[in-house]
Amino acid sequence: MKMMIKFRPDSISAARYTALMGLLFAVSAALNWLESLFSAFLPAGMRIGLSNIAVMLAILCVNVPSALLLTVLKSCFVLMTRGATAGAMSLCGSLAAFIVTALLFRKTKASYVLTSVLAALAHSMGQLCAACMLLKTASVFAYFPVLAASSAAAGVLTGVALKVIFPEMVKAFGSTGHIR
Amino acid sequence: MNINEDRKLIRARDIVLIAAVLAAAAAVYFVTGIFSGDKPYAVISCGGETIAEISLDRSGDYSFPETGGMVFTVENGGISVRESGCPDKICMRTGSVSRAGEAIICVPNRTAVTVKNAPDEDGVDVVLR
Repeated sequence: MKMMIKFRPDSISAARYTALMGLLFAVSAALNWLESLFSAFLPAGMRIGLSNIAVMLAILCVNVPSALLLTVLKSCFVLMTRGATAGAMSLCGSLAAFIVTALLFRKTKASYVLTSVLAALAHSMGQLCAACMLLKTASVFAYFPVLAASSAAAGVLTGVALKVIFPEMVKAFGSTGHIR
Repeated sequence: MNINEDRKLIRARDIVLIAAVLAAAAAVYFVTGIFSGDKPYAVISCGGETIAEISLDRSGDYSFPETGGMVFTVENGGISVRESGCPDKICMRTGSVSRAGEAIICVPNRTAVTVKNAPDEDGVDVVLR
């Protein structure tokens, strides 16, 4: 029986695919932890969005279904380590960022920095919308200015990181050759 | 050809867009400050239900059965969350808010503290719902 969604591109062997996805998930989990250390020094609510790098790399190096799988796994990790509320917030933010990244990286020539800034903004807005639904108040949008500013800064950082890491990933795992 | 091979790090127009986002964020922040009146008060709500309204002139600690272990402190014309049982303590780290439009949110406790302008000259003292 054929699977409905194809996760592994034909250009990568099953072993390489398993290694690559395991690596990306480990990176996202580790960055998630690192991010929580950084967040303690930042004003309330600011997340620098480092763990988005793993999903963005998956969109660049693997394919969109695999990146979606990674997004869901990443939120499951948050659900297990930080509880249901944090898990739901993470899922809303990450899905919004995933959609923006997938569109910009697969359909346009938008730069790395622009894509990651817009993805970080989408992540913040997704989280604010989730908080708005949980708290049933629009007051949560009072956090918008501080989140927008931190998203812009985080986006520039992740954009530069992607530009540096992506060619190395292609060298290590080969181009998956998603043709336009 | 792979669409990502010649992807740029950043373009000039991206810098303009990022600057516009920062300007919009700053504008939203300062515009809410302009409309803040003389007698702001804090509305504490839990799951969308208003629990209490507190004048920011009334210094003291407040806690409510609906918001669990949260302790709200009013001092120097501002309100902050001094204690909370939530995991990330985002509400406590927000610090003191005093201008209309500012808010403290605690998602795990489903609680929001919103600063509003007093509806009339007399202002609000303390209203418990």
